[in-house]
Formats: sequence, structure tokens, C-alpha cells
Amino acid sequence: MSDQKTERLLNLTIALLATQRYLTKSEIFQSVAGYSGEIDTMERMFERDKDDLRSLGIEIEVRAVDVLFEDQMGYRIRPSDYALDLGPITPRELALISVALQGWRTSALSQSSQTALRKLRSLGIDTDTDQFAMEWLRFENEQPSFDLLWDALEKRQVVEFGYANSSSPIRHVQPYGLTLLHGFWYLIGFDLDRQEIRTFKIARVITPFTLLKKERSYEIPEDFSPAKYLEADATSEFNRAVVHIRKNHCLTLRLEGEVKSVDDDWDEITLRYQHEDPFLRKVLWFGSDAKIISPADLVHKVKNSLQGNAL
Amino acid sequence: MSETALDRASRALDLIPFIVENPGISIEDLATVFGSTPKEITKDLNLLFVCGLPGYSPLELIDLSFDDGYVSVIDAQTLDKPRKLSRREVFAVILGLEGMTSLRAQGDPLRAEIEELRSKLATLISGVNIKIASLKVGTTPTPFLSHIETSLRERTLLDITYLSGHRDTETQRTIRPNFLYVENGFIYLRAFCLTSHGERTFRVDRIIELESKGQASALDFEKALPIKSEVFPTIEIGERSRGFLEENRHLLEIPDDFSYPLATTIAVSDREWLLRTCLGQRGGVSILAPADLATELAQRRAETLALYG
Repeated sequence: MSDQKTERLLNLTIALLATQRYLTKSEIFQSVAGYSGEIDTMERMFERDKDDLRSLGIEIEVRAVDVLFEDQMGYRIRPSDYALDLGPITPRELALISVALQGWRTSALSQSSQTALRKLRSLGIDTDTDQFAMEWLRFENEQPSFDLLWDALEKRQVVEFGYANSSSPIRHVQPYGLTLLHGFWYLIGFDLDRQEIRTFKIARVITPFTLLKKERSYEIPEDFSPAKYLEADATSEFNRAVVHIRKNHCLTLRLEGEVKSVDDDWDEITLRYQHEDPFLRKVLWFGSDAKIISPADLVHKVKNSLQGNAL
Repeated sequence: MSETALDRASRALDLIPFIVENPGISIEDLATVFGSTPKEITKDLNLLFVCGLPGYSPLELIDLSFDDGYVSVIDAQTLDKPRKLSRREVFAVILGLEGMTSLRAQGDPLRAEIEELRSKLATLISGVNIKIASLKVGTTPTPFLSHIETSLRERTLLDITYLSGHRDTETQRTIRPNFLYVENGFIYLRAFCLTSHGERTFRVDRIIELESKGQASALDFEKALPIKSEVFPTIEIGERSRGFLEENRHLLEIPDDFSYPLATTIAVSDREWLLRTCLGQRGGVSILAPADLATELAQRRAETLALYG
């Protein structure tokens, strides 16, 4: 059964690619191998086949074949729509693209990068990726795949999922964008329950994503871009902390600001930070070689946690 | 794995142009390239053999030769060209190039080249809204990346000045780079350190000076000291340190259905790293064993607390 269908899809593609003019359905049913049975059956087969080919990214052009009979539609695939064309591309550029694709060796985009690599290797251009010594490239940490989420984003479907560490565990979100930051994927979208744009770390999604059926159910604001959104977030408000660091210690911390001497044992540095947790991790890494002077609530937090109190 | 008719059709469409460009390729190799088995590929080829243009006479069918497991295409009919990239594939390319850019410092010639290529491709790929995804691999790019890559290609030694976060020291070392990798957004260099006679890992953004030392000689390739077989520490991770768990998944033993607090071994031999990390996690990660390490952590906590009077 599956063989027959594969065969029919291939024959349909070959025929639609070869034709110079638009083929009507009845021409297709008569000539393309694999269509048989009642006319209704063939119609249904053809509709499904068209959808299937389109889901592979194959564009099928549809046009009325006769101006007088507008319901008589014809179909074809333009070779220029079908074939990969990267314009005039050099072997070196192609090699760079191949290196970029190899960076996706783990999860979310690995399948697509494999298929893309094969297509590029079918262009008949010799490439040498060794020239870049970049076989080390890897963008993502290992994490669950989320193909469904790409679909939702592309088809503008609302997703429903459970999110760890939150008071309202089930979230309904209109996906606006996906972003990979420091090895982890994040979903940025409009949270329908909270009525605002939020960012979710995909590694923290605890139930499988469910897509709500309706497609095209929302619009992504014209001017929205995940990169800009995160940038705005990243430059929003900086806090400043004054930290005393022991002389000749905290070397990597010293790269982050101007260092002034306090006395024979200590220097002082003012550090910028955005979120408390990562900042405290960074400072406490140096143990008794770093002491937070201000702000007072950070000092309080550090003392408390060192005394073993819950935060 | 269940494969749909569509998956097979998709692979079959990609097989033909690939074979056209690689005539005489073995079925084994095809299977490797296409992530499939020789049996499946043979089935695909047999299927393609009976496909073709309407009429389906021998002249209108796809014609392949397979001799003793080596394949060539004699007539591809209309399928000789690779298909256009799918939307997902476009994302993989464009985001991948963006990722490569984000790793390279301003002024790195390769950075400019990659950026130019990216914008060139972006204009070619119409109809895909590439704005919906973005990527930033990580930290501040380092100007030394291209030097390290050159050293890897030409197998030269490097003199570096390195800030060790683990030991909070600045050291001068001569190293022979082995390979680079990315983890949690940082670029790491695995190298043989001639100064300390062993394999070491360096975070590339903490190399503050670097100079090439010329070709490595055979002498420089002495073996790393064998790593002592050891018992890894056991730690307990509380819920508020879930970020720690996510970033260090590869070091931990995590059952499929775990709950917090999670007790697990952690595959690290560097005590200093573990102690400092635990300090930073503020009680979210504690050491259960070995006992001396747990005591050391308690002591460091007390010393740090003492600062605050």
C-alpha cells in the first residue's frame, strides 16, 4: 500500500515537472500511473497527494486552463520552483554553509540539516570543509526535540503545555518566535493566561506540547523579532553591586570592571548585573575571596543562604 | 520506526540527484549518507526504477544501473536537480550562519565573510519569514579563535596566558591544541599542556594572551598521564537548582521520572570546580559523598559567612 502511494507521488511529481502546459485532473487521472478506481476516489487521492507534495515544499501551480470554463483547473510544477538555486555560489561559500549545518548535530534542527546537506552535496560543487577547522561547532546542548513547536509557529497555532516551577502549570501561548541562547532553546510568545509576551525555556516544559487545532489563529506583530526582544530585555535595567575582592584573587571577575584598591588586602570593583541568581553564583564562586558590600538585600540573601536558611 | 509513504517519496526524490552527482556510489555509502539501511535504499531504487513519465515505456522510465551494489543514473527523467530547501532547512542554514557569526569577534575576517554570505542567502530565500527564530551561541567572542583554528590546522604549539576560574590563578602555558567544542554557550579548547604534562580543558574566552610557537615536534606529543580511576562524588540537587541540572545533564545520572531533590553521582574529577559551583548554588546543590569533600564545602561556607561578620 505504502509502496503504491510512494510510486504515485513520484510519478505525479515527474509528470507535473515535465509538462509545459497545465495538466487537468482528468488528464492526470488518465495518464499518471497509480490513479484508479471511482472518480471520487481518484479526486480524494489527488487532493491528498497535492497536500503531501506541498508539505515537502514542492510548489504546485494551479490555474484555470480555459478562460471560458473557470472551474476547469490545470496543474504543473515549474522546474525553477522545484530545483534548488543558490545563485552563483563559490565552493568556499558552500563549504561555509555545510559547516553551519553541521553545527546542528544534536536535536531540534538536525534532521533538516541532514537533508539540506544532502541537497547541497547534489549540486555538483566540490567543497572542502576542512579548510575551516570547524568540525567542533555545536550550537545546542542536548535537549528534547520540539518539532511540533516549529509547526505551531509556522502555522500560527496556539500551543498548550505544562511549565515547571510555575503557579499556573498549564500555559496557553501564541508562539511568536524561537531563540537559541547559550545552548538552550527558548520560546517567546504571547501568554494568553497572563496577557503578555513571555519567554519559556523549552527544557522546562514538562508535558508534551499540544497544538490547538485552529491554524492562522493569531498574527505575530509586524515589528516583532525574537533577537530584538531579547536584546531589549538584556539592556533593560542593570543593577550595580559593589564587591570587595581579595588582592591577587578573583581574576576572572577583574575583567568585568574597574578595580580600585581599598587596603593592603582588598580591592573594590563595581559590577553590573541583571538577575540576582546568576550574579550571586558568579560572586560566591570565589568563596571567602569576594564580599558583597552593596546592595543591602543581596548581602542579606548571601548571609541567609550561607547560614543554611531557605530563600 | 514507521516510515510514511511521504518520507520515502521525499528520500527517493533526493536520491536521484545525489546519485547523478556521485555516479558509481555504493549502496552502502548511500545508506550512510541518507541515514538508512542498504535494504531500504535498494527498495527505494527498485521503486524509482518503475517510475517515470506518462507512457511508462522503457524510454520514459527512470533508468538506473546497479552493478554489484554500485549505482549510477542513466536517465533521471525530470528529477536530476536537487529540490529547493524546505522552510525548516532554510532555518537550519540561516540560523547556523548566525550562530557561526556570534562566535567570532568583530574584525575576524571570517566573521565578515559569513555575515555577507548570510545576507546574500537571505535575499534568495523569499517566502520564509526567517525573523521568527534567532540564535546566539554564547559569550563574548574572543579574538584568539582564528589563531587557535590555524594552530589546529597547522599543528603548531601555542604559548598562552590563561586565567583559571577553577583555581583562580593566572598561568603561562605551552599547549598543543587537540580540538575545540561548545558547551553551554562557551567555547572550550581541549589541548595537551606541555607545562603540566597532561590533557587540559581551557575556556577560550579566558585565554588573555596568545602567541604561536611554531611547528610542534614529535617530542611534544608525549602521552597524557593516565587518569586515575576514581569514584565520583555524590550530590543532591534541590528544585531551585534546576538550571544546574539542565546545564550539567551530561555529567549526571538522571532517571527518566525523577523528582527533586535528586541524589546523583556527578562525573567530575575536579574538586575545585564542584566546591565553587556548590557555593554558588547557595544550598541548591549539596555534597553527600565523599565526606571530606562535604566537610570542605561546609568549611568554605563558614569562611565566606565569616566575611559578613
